[in-house]
Amino acid sequence: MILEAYNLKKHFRVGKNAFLRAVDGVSFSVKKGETFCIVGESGSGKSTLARMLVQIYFPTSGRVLFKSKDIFSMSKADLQIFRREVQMVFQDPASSIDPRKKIKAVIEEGLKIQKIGSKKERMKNILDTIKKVKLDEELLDRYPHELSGGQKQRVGIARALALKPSLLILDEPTSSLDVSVQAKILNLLSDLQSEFSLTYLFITHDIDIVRHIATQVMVVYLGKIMEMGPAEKVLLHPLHPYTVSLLESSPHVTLEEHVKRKLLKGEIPSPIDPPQGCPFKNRCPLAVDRCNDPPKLEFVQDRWVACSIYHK
Amino acid sequence: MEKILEVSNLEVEFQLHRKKFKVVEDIGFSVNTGETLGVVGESGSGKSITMLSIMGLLPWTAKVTAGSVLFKGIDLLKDKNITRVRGKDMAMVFQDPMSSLNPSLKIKTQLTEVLVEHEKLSFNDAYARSLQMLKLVGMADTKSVMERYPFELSGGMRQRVMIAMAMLCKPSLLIADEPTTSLDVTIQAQILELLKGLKEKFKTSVIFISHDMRIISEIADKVIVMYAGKIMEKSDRLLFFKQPLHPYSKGLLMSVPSHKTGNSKKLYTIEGDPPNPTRFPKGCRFAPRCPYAKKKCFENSPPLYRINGNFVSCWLYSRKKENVK
Repeated sequence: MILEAYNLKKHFRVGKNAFLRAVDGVSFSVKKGETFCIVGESGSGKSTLARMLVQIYFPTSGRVLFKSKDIFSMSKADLQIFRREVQMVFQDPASSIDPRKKIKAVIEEGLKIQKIGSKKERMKNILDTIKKVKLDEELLDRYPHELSGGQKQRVGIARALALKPSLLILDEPTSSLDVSVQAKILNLLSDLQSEFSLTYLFITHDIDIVRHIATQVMVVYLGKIMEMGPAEKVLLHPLHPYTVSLLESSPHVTLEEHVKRKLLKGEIPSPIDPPQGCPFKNRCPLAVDRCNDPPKLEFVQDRWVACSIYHK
Repeated sequence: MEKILEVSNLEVEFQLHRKKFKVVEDIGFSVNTGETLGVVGESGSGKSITMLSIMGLLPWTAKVTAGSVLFKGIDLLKDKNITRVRGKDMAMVFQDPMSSLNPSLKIKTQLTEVLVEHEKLSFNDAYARSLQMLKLVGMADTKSVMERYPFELSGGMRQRVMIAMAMLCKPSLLIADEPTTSLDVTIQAQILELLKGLKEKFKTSVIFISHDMRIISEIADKVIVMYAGKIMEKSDRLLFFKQPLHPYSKGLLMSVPSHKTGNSKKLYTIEGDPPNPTRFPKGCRFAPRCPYAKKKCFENSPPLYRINGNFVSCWLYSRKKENVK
């Protein structure tokens, strides 16, 4: 296990007695070398979760272990290592890269903070890294606005890679890119993973990307896990009604005359005032009385499911 | 079938630092009554600019320098009074509903304004019609929605309001520019279904712009592929998705992550990047990235060839069928 989370919660105070339960009791573990995908709609808490895993947010309760050490009560020395080994790549490369820095300074910043190498060694590292993400050396002296979206995202990946991390947290890294550019980034990520035996925690809302890269999938809804397990099991035979609807809703290239699909009614409820019991019950096509009690996350067949229809 | 919109030889020029660039060239297509035309292309391919010039909404730095846009037989580019048609018989839904709705006006003000302006209705009549339309686009609790401001609505609800606004005067042509790109998949599926339903109900023709091949395959009757300001291919939907003609279309379709579980397989990629509009390459604009490019492709721009009723702009097809230009 490289990363473990136990009963992780993040509640934001939004009023006198109101809380926004962005993440509400999530536990999972990520093995070394895996691509662990978190899928969910906006408002499901997936980005808040990612931010807790890199200590941008502190959780309301719960624990996160990185290589068996609790990241919120680490010694300074361990924290230094943690911050080098866990890197994040953001959704929008344009706003996550300092527009006033040259590309080489963007990549160098992390190395400087971590005090890795002399100036000369850092420069060599930067040149190596830029080659790994298949960017031209001459871009190093440019500013971010001179780069295309795809190139900027490669810089975002290079910046993370320069520190030789073991875990990369990727928050929708391709959703602002065109399909042809997306294909290149996804290929690059899979090359890098096998070359440097990286572990990926990949956040996305695109089921087709999950199908393409995931080894493990976690489906979240209103801050709770709905279904979690091996990708091929969950995607080929989804058990939770929400996973079924997500798969059903995602478009695919079709030659059929008329595409008719079962639509999920309504929208994701506000996390400030979530439904009692099962969070999905008022959109669920199979909801029954039992759903008024919160379902437990239970092991069914070969994966974890939180749905009362599978309770005995 | 009757042609409702016919665009021919459209050319749009941008002026930047006293230099002029043609960003869109030789655009020609038509839309029949009740038909959905899908327009695919990457960012910067000129698809939005083409639609904005049809609607007469180009920014001041851009100018239509050639061509015609016939809407029901009237050339919109020469017609000084485009406001009679725009928003009434021809409406548009934009990608981001938050920035296309007025943030400081209540929904009711924004909806009724359309009818008061175009159909000279009284506020009360306009209010009643707007309520009906909100119900039609699948809104619950329509009265309270009317009293709200855009920021009080979710992304999906805002897009429904935008669609309701566009449909208020029952337009014959609806232009939808990436209407679902900013939405979640479950909401996207709802909006696509809604657009299909409205199209049937009002017999509206639709131009649907998207960069997502998967959505185009579900909603379009005909498909246009644009690249670097030009049309690369115009095809019937089924033929297009069975057998795309242009190397660029093939590349685009193959780079979509597969619907079938194809774990850890490499995705197909198109080499290189799209060209900058300030310096489009000579000859075929796709040639520098094309795996089939020959010497000829870098020298001369290919005409549109007609292949089994579809059109493709590629020298590969030069000896096969008659040339339309």
